[in-house]
Amino acid sequence: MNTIYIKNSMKDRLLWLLSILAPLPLGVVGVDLLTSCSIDETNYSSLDQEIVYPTEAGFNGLVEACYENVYYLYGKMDGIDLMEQGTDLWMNGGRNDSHGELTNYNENLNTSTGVVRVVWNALYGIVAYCNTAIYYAAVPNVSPSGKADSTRTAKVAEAYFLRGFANWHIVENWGGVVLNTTSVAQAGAVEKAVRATEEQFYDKIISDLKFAAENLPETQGDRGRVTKWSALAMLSKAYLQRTRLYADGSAEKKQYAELAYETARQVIGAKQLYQSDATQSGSTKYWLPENNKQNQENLFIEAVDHVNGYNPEWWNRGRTRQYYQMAIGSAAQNFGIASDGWRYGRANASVWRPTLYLLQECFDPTEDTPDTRFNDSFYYKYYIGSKSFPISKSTWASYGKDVSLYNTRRPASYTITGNVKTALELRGTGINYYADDGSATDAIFEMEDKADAMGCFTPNWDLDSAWCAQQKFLAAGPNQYMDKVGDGPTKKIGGLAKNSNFRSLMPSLKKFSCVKYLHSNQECEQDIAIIRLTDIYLTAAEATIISGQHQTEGLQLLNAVRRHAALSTDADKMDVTAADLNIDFLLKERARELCGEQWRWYDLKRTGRLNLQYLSEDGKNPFITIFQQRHLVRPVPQEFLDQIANADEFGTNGY
Amino acid sequence: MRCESNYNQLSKTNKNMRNLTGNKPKEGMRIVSVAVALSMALAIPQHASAATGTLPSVASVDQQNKAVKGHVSDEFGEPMIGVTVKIKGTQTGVVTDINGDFTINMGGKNTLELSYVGYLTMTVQTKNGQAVQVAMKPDTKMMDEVLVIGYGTVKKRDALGAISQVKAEDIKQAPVLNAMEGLSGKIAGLDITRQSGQAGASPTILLRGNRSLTSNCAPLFVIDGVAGGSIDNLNPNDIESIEVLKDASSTAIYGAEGANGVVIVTTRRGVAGKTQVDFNAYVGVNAFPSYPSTLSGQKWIDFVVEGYRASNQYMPEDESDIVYKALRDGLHLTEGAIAAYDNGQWVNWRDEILQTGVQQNYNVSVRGGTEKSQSYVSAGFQQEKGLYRKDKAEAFTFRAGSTYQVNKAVSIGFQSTVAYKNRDRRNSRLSKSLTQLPLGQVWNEDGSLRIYPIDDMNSYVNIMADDVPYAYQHNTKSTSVNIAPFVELKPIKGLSFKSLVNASLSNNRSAEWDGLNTYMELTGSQSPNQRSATYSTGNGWGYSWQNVLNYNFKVGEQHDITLTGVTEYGKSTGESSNMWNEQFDFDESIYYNFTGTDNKETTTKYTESSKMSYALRGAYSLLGRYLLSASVRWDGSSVLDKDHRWHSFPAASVGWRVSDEPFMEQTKSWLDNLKLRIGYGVTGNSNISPYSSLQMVEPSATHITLGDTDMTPYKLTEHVTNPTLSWEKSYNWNYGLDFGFLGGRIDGSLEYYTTDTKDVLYDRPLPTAYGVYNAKTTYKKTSNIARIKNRGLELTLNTRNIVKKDFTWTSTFTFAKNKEELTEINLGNNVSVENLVALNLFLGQPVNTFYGYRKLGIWQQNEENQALCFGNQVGTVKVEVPRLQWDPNYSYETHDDDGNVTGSYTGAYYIPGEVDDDGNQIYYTRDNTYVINANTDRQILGSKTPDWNIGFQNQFTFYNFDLSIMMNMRWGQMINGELLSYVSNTNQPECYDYWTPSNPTNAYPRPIQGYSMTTAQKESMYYVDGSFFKVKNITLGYTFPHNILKKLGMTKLRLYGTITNPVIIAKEHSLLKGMDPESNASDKFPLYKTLVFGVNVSF
Repeated sequence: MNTIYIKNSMKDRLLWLLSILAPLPLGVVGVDLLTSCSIDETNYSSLDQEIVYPTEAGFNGLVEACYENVYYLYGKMDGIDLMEQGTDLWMNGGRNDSHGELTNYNENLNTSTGVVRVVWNALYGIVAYCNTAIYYAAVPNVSPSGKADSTRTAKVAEAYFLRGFANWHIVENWGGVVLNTTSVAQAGAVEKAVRATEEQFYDKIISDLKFAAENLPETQGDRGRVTKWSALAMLSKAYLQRTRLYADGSAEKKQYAELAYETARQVIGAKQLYQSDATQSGSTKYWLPENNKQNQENLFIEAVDHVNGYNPEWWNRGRTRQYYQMAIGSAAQNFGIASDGWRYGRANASVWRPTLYLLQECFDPTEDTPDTRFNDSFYYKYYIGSKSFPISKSTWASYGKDVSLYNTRRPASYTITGNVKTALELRGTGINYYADDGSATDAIFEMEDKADAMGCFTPNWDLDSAWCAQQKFLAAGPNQYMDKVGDGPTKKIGGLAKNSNFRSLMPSLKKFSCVKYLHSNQECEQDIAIIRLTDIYLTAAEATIISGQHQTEGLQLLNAVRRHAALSTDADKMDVTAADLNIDFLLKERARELCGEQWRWYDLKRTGRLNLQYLSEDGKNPFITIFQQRHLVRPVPQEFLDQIANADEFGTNGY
Repeated sequence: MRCESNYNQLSKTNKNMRNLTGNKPKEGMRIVSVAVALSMALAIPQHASAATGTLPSVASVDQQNKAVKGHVSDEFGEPMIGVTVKIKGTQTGVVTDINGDFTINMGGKNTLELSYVGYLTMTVQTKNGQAVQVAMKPDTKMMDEVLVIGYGTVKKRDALGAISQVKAEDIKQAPVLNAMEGLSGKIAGLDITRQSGQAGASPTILLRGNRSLTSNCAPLFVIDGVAGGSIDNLNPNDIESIEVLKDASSTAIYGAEGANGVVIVTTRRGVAGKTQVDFNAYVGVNAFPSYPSTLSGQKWIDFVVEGYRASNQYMPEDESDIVYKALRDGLHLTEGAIAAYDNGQWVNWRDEILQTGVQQNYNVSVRGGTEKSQSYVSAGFQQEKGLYRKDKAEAFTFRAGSTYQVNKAVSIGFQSTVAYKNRDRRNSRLSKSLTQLPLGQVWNEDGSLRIYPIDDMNSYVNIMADDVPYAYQHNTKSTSVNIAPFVELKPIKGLSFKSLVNASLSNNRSAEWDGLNTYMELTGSQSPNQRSATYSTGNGWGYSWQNVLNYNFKVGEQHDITLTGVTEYGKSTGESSNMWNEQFDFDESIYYNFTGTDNKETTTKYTESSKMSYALRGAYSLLGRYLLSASVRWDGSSVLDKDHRWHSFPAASVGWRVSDEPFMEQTKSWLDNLKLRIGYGVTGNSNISPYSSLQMVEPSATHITLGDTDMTPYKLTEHVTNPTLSWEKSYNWNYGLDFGFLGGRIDGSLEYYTTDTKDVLYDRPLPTAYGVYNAKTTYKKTSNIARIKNRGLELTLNTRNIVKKDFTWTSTFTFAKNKEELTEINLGNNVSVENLVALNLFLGQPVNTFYGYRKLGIWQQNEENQALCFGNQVGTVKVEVPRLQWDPNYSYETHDDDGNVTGSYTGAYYIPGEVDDDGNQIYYTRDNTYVINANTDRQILGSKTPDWNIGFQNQFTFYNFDLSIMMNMRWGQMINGELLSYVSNTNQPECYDYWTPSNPTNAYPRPIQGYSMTTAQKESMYYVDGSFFKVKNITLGYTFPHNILKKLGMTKLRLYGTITNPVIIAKEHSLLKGMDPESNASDKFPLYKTLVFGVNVSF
């Protein structure tokens, strides 16, 4: 109700004029502001790639980014699934069990399988970052000093190594898929994907690794960085693996085997194995916790920061351990093994267990074997970690125990003092019971030194049932915890035990449970070896079988690895003869040496053992009942197919 | 503008008056008095006279310059308070007091003008200082009601858009902590749901369906003319009215921000007249959570025993024996747990975890002023304590505003708001209760929490562990300040210019503490043995400057034109920092002492964006019957690439007031109003983050040392640049029909609309083989790739069913139906796909489509043969596999490994055309079971979006009592209720009607110890028809009569009580027993019933 009417009085005129003029300054300022009001935005926090990458710090950061996705391949279950499973060494609880897609090649292995996607993504992530680094290495350096950066070649050589390494895994898993050499930073979105041949892949892999070998330094300040020796080792493995592309006896096959041998020899000539002595084998030394972070045999590792957790996914590293652990929750827990204890980890599920073939054909199934490697690789004596472990008489009896021993079982609880954390420099203060004598070493991490402290015993040699019944701890050999007769649920030798009380028992792979770097019952901050020296010895030995040359040296190298696995006093017992220099023996040797280290699937693929006949032999994974041509490669992830225009043309690799 | 029209109208009626009363005032007075008396007696409004605006002249006075006294009453003869009484043609005026009386010095004039919202404006002649008696008449057709629209107002009769208005009274009717909740069900097409019972949770708002895939579909809030504010910062009591602009012809004036509709909030202002103090308060309790409790006591024992029987196919004679067998051998319980059972130590976890919540709201406001200046000040406090301990939200709000008239042409003023919020948050661990053992002791003797309810079960952690002091703490605090000064010029009649600056400052901090004894730590799900803390702070500041020029003029008598021009500039900046640290030595300092030894992480961030807009609008009215409006807005924004920065958003609409046509003369007796409207407009959805058009590098979130020193990898950001990125644009047609019948008894509107949204933004994942952000995350390129169509029908009906002096009944009915359809997915370069399963996008389907396994029921005993062909047992979930067919005649034998026949059966499943290598049809039997798989056996099940919504509000007054009942229905939506699939061996919700041989239900499967459901079985249980009917709230109030108030010195006193969510009826009531479909049967923060008592007082 306040409409204003212009009035005629002088005063009103003045007011009117004022009211018109009053906003004028505002209007003038307004016009000025409107014209100068930029709709730009200042950007402080985000960095333009053209500013960052040409600088020294930026370029270093770019090369470091190339390593990031390696951490998604090791110490995680995804990489294990593709690289170690579906082989002769491991099985799980059933055909359709967890991870049955890759362990058993069941029908759920398809383009939607999650772990296949993760590994694909991690590998292509490495390739893409390496491409970006290689692109920016050619961009003129804008370091403040303006001088040419001589270190840039050595730096970019790391990217060449990683690209070769990642492409090797890509071509082995998926065959001729995308061979990408452009930087995503420059290329942007690609609509249609193009396939390359396996030869094209290998040509690129080999040229990348050669560049890396020529330009990388022999040593690096950071142990996780690749060196000349990493590159030569990977190059020898690439040469050997390439032999699978050619017919037996063909010139190319022999030629690449010879190249593998020669390249491996360069590494072997430059690096030293740990020497066995009268108390410890070289292999035992290799696995000592104190050698984990400073190891002379490692050629390429995933270096994990156990001090500050500066790792991709922070402390969430080394989850590998929990997938190879015996599921303590059911049987072993009844006998005092702590399911929340750190040493034996928390088994998420009994995902992977060693096959009878690994336990008794590869490893020597005797108690007094000179070969220390079963002991180096597996827990089979489990010590008590629980404060109390009530067990009913009926349960006691259901494990085949002598009922008269029921009341003589170990006391319901120990006095537990102290904490192992400080002594072992462990992180956190978990349930780390140890003996009350105050000493804290690995040996008494749980209750190892106490009389009657053993709770569970699962060796790889068979046990007499009557003997087992008289032990106060749970005891079972492969003849109890596996099916050695063929009367278990799978009716196959090497299948699940007939007595379900023993089915959860097994030796647990401990290669990923380095006690000094345990972080929780699930995580572990140990370094994880990717390529190590004994692998290169065996690579060279295998190459001599294929090439037919240097077989004397080949046998020497094989025996060097075997002697490395025994006390110096037992060295002679380890030697094998030229008759053993064959692929089957070598595969067993590689299993003894490298089981769990994510090379097995490639080993079988290279040696032509990826087939139903081999995989379904007695003692191997009884749940592999199907293996078709398509299973030699992995399904192309649906995620990728959904993202490209020519999915039909590109294909799924037969899935 | 409004005054203008009133004036015109009144001039007309004045003429009538003179004709009627000028010569024979006394008689006229009598006639009118009779009419008033008659209308009072009949207790109905005088439609005929109201319709023509005829004014009763009560008195006439001579033109002497003396004070005139008067009394104003309503149509029922009750005194009316606060009626503005003005001397016509001047700015002099007063307001009636509590008795409806006024005194005014006539200053030589003799015409009074009386006005009150919702009533027809009256003009009265005074005479000789005689007292005046005026009976106000309600404006039942509300034709002169003013609607607030973008950058202006419009008379409701001239409005051309789909606009709904809600007044303060309706918002205040039932108490709400968030004003939008009060609108639920009252506006057709505005879907408001509260999905979480967490304290401080805001409702989800969706207008006319989803138009976007990635970005927020919430409407734009315009608070006192400033776009982009948050209604969460307002106390509902400070709101004067809310207008919802639904169609593009009305929202296009907001251009790039208008696509999801615009909610215009007008807050209360000062008014000239007596100072008025309002006090509103309520206190209430939140209780009766819509959440199932878990089996306990004998029911749990029955369940465990049934599970044991089922897995062992075993029925011993001795029932007490089977209980212990089931507990020991079936569940593998420890001796401690068995002892707890023996001692009857039962736990009802739900009731232990949840307490009774409290909510309260206090608001006091003062408003008043003179003709030259008016002010409004209010302060409020709101608090909500959730059902969980440590779930709390508090808000303090302060608002002040004033207007000062410098001279006749210039007025200045400001509006300001301060809001402070303090919120304690927590994780819901309630879902853990659903499968938890109901045994043990939760509390120690001293009242502290027992971490392990059963001594010898370390795996059984108390679900309430987070409630232990210092175990877990998550607190957020935020302050926001808005100051909006303005200057307004009205130099000549019809012309106004307003310049408004809105400056806003915000500050927030969020802190989280994870001590050693959190539930996650104790259960080993989190990195153990570390205390960790996060502390983040953020500052935001920005301003907008808006200039609006409005000019309304007439050309001749027939052409009414209003022109509007707008410029607007906005800039907003934000800074934030985040700290993280772990390995602390003490709990007591929580996040206030960052002395942890490890992993100190600090990050800082800055963002900035600016935008510029121009808009023009013209409205034209011919004879008040033919209406035309057109507008265009140009928006430029810094978040877009330099070359694609500006876009225009045009709109136009036409309207025809059919009822005003001469040929409609004979319908006037029953048809008050009939108006047709057609509008078209283009609007945008501007949810694009700053710097989206640049290719950025960032330091990796986690560092790498490669074994030695800390290094910072520089990675490309997850979002890869897209220079051609543009806004989503909606093209909307709206057809509206406004109607009013029977003298205001029925009025309403019907709307039909189609919205075609193009260039819908989507974070398109880039092909992984050309690079990924990391192994778990693909690169994304935000691209305009999809197209979504919405079309729908809305009906709003307001009816005055009974209008008597002491009893009234009015209703508001709203109906909305919307069909949403994804019509295009274009990955770029014209590469289209039919569906993207991984991203849940399906052509021809709504945006929120559920794709999964369909549950058919439970395998019954007579279906054993079929069940075994899937490897399923009787009593477990039956999942549909559409491509499978059953051949009842196929017969087969089963064999053992040695080839011996172990059984002979008939009936098998097959997929037509699926043959083995020899060309024989493959059959799925007990020996060759069919494995349900994700690639072929999932199907489109339904959609989260309802087919239709109904809101139905009824308000009654009976003497001094008022009663309001709000009901709503959402029909045809599917929910994926997490609560529906908690089937376990240990325990499950009490409400599950589970299958047993003697209870052959199809609802929930049989508990079978040792059997775990397949993924398909489990997932199929989530999806259920979520249609429901709800009585949202019932409010009963009592207003004290004036004579009592007078003694108390009050002008208004109303007491009321409200119950919220008293009745919930779900279509699938057997499956959704005890759950609330509005929350999607979520297993986290349950909704609850609220019982509130409140008071509204005015002085």
